[in-house]
Amino acid sequence: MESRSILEVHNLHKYFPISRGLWSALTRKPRRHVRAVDGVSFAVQRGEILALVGESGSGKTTVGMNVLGLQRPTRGHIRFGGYDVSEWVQGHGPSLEADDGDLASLSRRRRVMTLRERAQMIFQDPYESLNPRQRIFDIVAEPLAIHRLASSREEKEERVRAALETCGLAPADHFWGRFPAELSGGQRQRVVIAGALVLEPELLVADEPVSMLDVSIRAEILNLLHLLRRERGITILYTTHDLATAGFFTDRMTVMYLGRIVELGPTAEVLSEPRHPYTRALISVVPVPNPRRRRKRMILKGEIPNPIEIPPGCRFHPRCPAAVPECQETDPQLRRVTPEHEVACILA
Amino acid sequence: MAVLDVRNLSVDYLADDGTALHAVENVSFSLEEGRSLGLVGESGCGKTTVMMALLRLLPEEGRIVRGQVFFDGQDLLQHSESEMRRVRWRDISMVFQGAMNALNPVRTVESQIVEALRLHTAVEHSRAARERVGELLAMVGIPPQRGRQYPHQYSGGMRQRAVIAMALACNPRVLIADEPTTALDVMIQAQILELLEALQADLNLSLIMVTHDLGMVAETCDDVLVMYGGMVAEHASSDVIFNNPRHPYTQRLLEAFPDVEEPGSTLASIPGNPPRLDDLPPGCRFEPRCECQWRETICAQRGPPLVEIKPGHCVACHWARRIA
Amino acid sequence: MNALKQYIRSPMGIVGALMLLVVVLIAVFASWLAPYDPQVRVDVTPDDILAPPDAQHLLGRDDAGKDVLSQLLYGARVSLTVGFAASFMSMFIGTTVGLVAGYYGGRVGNALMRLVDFLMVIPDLPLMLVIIAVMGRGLVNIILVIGFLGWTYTARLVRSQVLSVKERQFVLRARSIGASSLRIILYHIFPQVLPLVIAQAVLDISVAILAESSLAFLGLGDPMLISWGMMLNFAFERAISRQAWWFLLPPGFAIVWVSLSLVLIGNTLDQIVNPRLRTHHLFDPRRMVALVTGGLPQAQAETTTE
Repeated sequence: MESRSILEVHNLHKYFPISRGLWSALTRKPRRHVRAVDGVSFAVQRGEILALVGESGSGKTTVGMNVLGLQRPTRGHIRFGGYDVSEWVQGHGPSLEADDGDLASLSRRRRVMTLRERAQMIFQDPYESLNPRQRIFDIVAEPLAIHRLASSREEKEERVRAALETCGLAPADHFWGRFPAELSGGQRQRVVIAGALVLEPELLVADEPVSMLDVSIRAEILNLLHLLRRERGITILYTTHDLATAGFFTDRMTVMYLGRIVELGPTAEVLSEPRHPYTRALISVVPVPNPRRRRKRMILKGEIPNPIEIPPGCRFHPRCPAAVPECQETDPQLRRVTPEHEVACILA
Repeated sequence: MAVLDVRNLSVDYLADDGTALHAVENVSFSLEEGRSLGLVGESGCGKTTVMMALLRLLPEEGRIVRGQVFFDGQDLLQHSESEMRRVRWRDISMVFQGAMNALNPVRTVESQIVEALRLHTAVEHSRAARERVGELLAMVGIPPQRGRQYPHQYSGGMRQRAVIAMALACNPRVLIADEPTTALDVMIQAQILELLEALQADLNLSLIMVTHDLGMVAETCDDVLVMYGGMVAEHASSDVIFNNPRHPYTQRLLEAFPDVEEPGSTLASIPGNPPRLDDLPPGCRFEPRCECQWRETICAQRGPPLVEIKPGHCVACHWARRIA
Repeated sequence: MNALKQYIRSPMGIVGALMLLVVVLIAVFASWLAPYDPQVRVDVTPDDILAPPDAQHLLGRDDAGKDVLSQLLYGARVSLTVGFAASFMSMFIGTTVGLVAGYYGGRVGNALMRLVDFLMVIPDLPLMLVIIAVMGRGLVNIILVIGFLGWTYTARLVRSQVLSVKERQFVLRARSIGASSLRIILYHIFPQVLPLVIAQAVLDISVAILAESSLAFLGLGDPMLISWGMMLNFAFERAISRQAWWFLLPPGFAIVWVSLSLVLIGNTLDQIVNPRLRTHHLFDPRRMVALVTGGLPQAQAETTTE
């Protein structure tokens, strides 16, 4: 991993224990876990937009939560801007590789606060992610209050105005006295983005930011994210189940299945020359807005298995149209097939 | 042969203070036997209201103000409630939005389908009913023995199949599916669409798919009806809508749809918001957001009528013939 | 405010509010309204004891020859004071415990909930009797005792509400912008919980008044003050044999009146405030499925919002 990476995820695992009944506890049966993320590694360059594409159970949202330190990894490390998020969120000592010696001396709370100032999240549900009782101004100003970044009311107003107007909610004072219920879905999502921007973060994790919005509004939000990267150099981690939007504005793309990355590479390349059977199937079923171009769809049989019981060998093999007997025994790791393109399949 | 012929259907909702909100106005379309119609529009455009009105299932605040709905030559809007009960589920059936989450959690799937059968057909013996349920489940791709299970033991895709089976229990001629694939994974969506296509072919079903997902419509529907602000914007065969749209809204909607085969191309968005029902523009309802070069004062003054500019292609725009 | 508008539309709520208003006005203006001051010693003749109502004493006289009506009017003060104070105390303790137990969960939450269970299991009245007997009679003691035993229900209610609110996405967002736990609890979770707490608190006032009346009735009230419970205490001992209904009925009636008013208000608030099913889109599919498979147009009982 090069040092230009702003974010490095090493072998991330996140398991959620399932509560067991009294009998199982008494008989000391081994606890079962939902293996939401089961060994994920990737790096993101500064200013890059990386898509995490996957269906439900793929672990894409969980990766985002762990990157921001909102959850603690079960195993593995996450390095952001040179310090180890996973360790610091757990309150452990400073990572020896921290670039910034000053950070090492801060308390745990201060470290978490520093992380929050530099990395923020955009949520999926614009109807649920805003406190219905807060006015827009307070929603966007709250991060400033928490981090004590504005010393006066005027300064607060300045920064809130700047954030709202960058996000297209202009004039700001037209909006900031209102409550979320008075705004449309698209406008609410802009408020969420403004609330994240006001801290001037370096990294944004956008968790399915447009899947609950109407089609004609999606482009606005995605264009806004694209603009933030162009004008401010913000790095964006974009999770989605919609390959088409990923294709629209991301630089690189990872395809996830049941907690693992199965393919990773430049977006255009992955979409035009997919190497993993799952990616191929996924691309083939994405609807294309032209009936003349109805393609042969590779519709997989069955459903995504339960992340509690992961198939042996390659976890995709039960549904894979190209599976061979060996697939049941080998668990493929990511392998480079071109300098930028990696695939986890023994047949690729 | 048109199995369903809707003419000038208009629906109002009464607000708390008594004012009438014109949720749907002058919607006309016809559904040919054995064909599938995609009813497309964004949230709030009235598409679900139209379907509910068809089946006379509007809530108390809803009023059908005008219009005729001809099914097999009879106007459903003139039917009494008991006559409608004979039409619902037996002739025209519906898979409601979110129905897969509305299955009764404390009864087995089989018993719920049996209930539908008992209410609408003359099936007497429970054995005959269970056999029929087995048939239905097999038809939708669920192993019949799983009928004894409860909804929470089914995955999302299976629940949707179960709901489709329930809708087909009485062999309807028309099936209305309201957002049948929202909230499902991409692959499961494809499975459900494939199922609907197969059912349509095997049972000679006429299908209406209500959705905001243009892609789904492009993949599976023969004809398309685009709605905006409670009115029909454009109505034509799928091929025409996607390759030669004439209404500015349809065009912009298509431009807003990302194409996975052309990654990186620009994506349009439509500025502004759909009209509020209590604040409808006097003229064309799309006019405030229309950026078409032909836009003129007449657009804001008079609502455009739905005109058949070519056989089978209707557009509600003053400039339809000029727009290419 | 939306809630206020809804409240005004409820006949039950209006009746309750008016009934309570009457009592509040009486309590506030008792010294002007009462024809006599119950504290003032009166010279009585044996005829005055338990005298029936007449022109000068509209509700007759009690066993000490004092005017029943005046005592009734002054009694409102004690009841309302105890009711509101004890309820406020319960609300405060209960909300705090509920917020902490719900938000932090784990061992702390479990321990608190077991404490709640413990207190709920013990019968209230006998425990109150014991505590008052030990602490001594007095208004403040009564308020403390009632408040101390009344918070458990609120705690449970708040905790269960907190458990669901803390999973909502705006709470996650608050975490992601760096809000401390205290901030999240006070600014984000508490406002969602408050309406439920208020509805419950109103009902609690009614319970507190009944508790005070019971204690006073059993002879443990503040001897310096007149309360309705105490009036019932004396009436029960002394007036029944003389069939002096004017001494017995009014305090009982007053207690019922005030409790009823609070219950009406509390129930109305509860109906307004309780989270109901919400749907973004126009129709509730459950209702529709029932309608279609049932075939009958059922009366639409609840309207779903938007």
